Amino acid sequence: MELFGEQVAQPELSCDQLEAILVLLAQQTGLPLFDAYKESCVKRRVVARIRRSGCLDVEQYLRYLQQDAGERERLVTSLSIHVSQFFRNPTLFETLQTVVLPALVQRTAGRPLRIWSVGCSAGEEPYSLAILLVESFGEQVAGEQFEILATDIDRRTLAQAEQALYDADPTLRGVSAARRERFFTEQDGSFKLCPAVQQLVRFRQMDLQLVADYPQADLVLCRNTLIYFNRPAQEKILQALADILPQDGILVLGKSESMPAPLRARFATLDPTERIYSRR
Amino acid sequence: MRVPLGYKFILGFVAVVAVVAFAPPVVSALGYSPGVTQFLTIVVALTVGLIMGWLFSRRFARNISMLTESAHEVSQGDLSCDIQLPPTSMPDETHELTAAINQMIQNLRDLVGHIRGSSAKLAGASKEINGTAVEISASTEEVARAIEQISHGAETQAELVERSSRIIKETAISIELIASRARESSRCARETSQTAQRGSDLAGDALLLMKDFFERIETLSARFDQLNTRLQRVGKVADFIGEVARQTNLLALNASIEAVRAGEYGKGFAVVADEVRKLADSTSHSAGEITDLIVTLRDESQKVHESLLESSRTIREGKKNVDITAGAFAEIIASVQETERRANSIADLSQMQLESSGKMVHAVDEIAKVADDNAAATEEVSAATEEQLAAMQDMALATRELTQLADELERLVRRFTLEEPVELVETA
Repeated sequence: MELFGEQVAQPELSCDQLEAILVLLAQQTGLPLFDAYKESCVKRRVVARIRRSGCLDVEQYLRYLQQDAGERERLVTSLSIHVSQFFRNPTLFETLQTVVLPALVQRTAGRPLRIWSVGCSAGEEPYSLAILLVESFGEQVAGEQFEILATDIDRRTLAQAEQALYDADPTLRGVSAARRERFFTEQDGSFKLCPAVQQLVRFRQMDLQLVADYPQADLVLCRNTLIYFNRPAQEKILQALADILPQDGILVLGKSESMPAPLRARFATLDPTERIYSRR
Repeated sequence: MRVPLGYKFILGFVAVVAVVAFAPPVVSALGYSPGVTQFLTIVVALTVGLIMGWLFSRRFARNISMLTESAHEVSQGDLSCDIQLPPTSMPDETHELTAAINQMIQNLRDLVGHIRGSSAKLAGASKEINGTAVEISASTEEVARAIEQISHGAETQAELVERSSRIIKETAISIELIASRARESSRCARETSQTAQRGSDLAGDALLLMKDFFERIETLSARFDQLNTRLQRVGKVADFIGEVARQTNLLALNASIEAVRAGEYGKGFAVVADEVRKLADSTSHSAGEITDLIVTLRDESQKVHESLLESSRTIREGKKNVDITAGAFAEIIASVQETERRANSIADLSQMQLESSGKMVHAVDEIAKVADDNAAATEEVSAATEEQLAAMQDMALATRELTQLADELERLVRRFTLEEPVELVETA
């Protein structure tokens, strides 16, 4: 690889070496093995991390990883990709606000509606939802009638999520001026979400592979998370989601994600464009 | 000619020592008292020393102060001026120091100029990279949208395929039903065909029996004719007997008359004749009865013959019906066989259809697999674009930092003045 006319070393990473790195990472961090993820993706991320660490070869990086907790943290962050924006795919949020949420509220009358945002990154998605709820139902009712739980594997981004401090671009690109005015305050060029919305969301670190830890929920947003998992892991996760959802509970996938054939028996398609499914 | 500073000092020192050495004889030649002479010697030596010292240190001090001032200016960031010492016939270390400092200033000037140029270039390049990163982000988002579109297609495809698969499976079930019904029909048709064959056989038997019957009727008819002929002959015999009886009667009558004529002798004969006549009468009577019987017989036989002919006609009618029935049975057999053939063909065709629908199910499953693979591939691409977006965000951040760094560098080197090199004017 050539960058600015200089040769940049591209470490060769064999399957065994990748395995060794991932096993070491799993042992040292206590996280499950990253073998449920798409191998090509994981490999690319690890190679990028090795290159950035300045290590000359994989052996040196392994030693470095063993000694340095910070590098382990950085590798975990690097393995989980965090791309998100407020109101990413605006049409989905419109559909949620106008169709899905009112129907769910009617159905769960008498108890709080539980919403689970899976792979929440720095909180853009759950906060977007919280903004919708405040807009539709008011702060008081939104706080009483809804429970939003947001989970992610990466503690560093969760810490960012709890800060609720965002750059204008590109994170807030999808937020209208009116919403920005109403829900955010400017702080040194960044924007801070108002506490009334912030307190509607609870964050928790969780690995999607540990299906036994899944909470009960009426609406699950699992967008652009499954794309990083291989097919068997995807099916396992979706089966577990089907288990925790009540009948007619709603599942939303990312726009490029599809329901694997074996799961179609458990989920009926409500909106193929927005990837909204209901549990059969 | 270069004279090192040390030599200059030594020269001054030697001059002072020389003055101290040579001054007492000169002063004592003036004829002053020894005290005054000593005092004057000291004064002269001091004066000469001071003059020499001043002479030597004047230039040196001026040069050093110029150098100090210049160093101070450099420390303030002013690199615009070079140090220019006044020309001298005896340069020393201060001149070398000046040259070195000038070189240093020049180097610093070059360095700062270089840094300034580089930081400007750096700022430009990082802006360029930032712009490129933003551009790549935009095109990646475009790709992501296209992938979403493709994925939407794959999802719809998967759903359609699933629906088609269901329909084809249902169709296959109904085709199987049709096949089994067709086979049942074929079996029924075969059974019907067998029954019709039996009917046809029975009709054939009936026809044979009827033929036999006709033959017998004809034989009977011929026998009847024979009977009639014989009866006629019997009639003739009876007529003949009647005639004989009549003549016998006449003869008996003649005999009676003769007997009467013969008188007494003829009495016995008359009795015989009477008896003969009675016999002839009885014979005639019997012959008449026979003739009557024959007439009756002939009438009866005629009637029987006629009724036989009547039956024969009726049976001929019946034979025609049996013929039609046999024909109908043949037709039934033909059409039932056709039905069986067609039912078999339906069964075969539906079997083929069943096989085709099996293949179709397989093909649809294959399509479903392809759709699934497509969906997986779009996810793969989607994951890669997400990764790329993340990398671009990182890159945009990094270039922002790089721009800040370049700005800071620029700000730091801006303290150094490079232009307007003003000629230093000698002040002393």
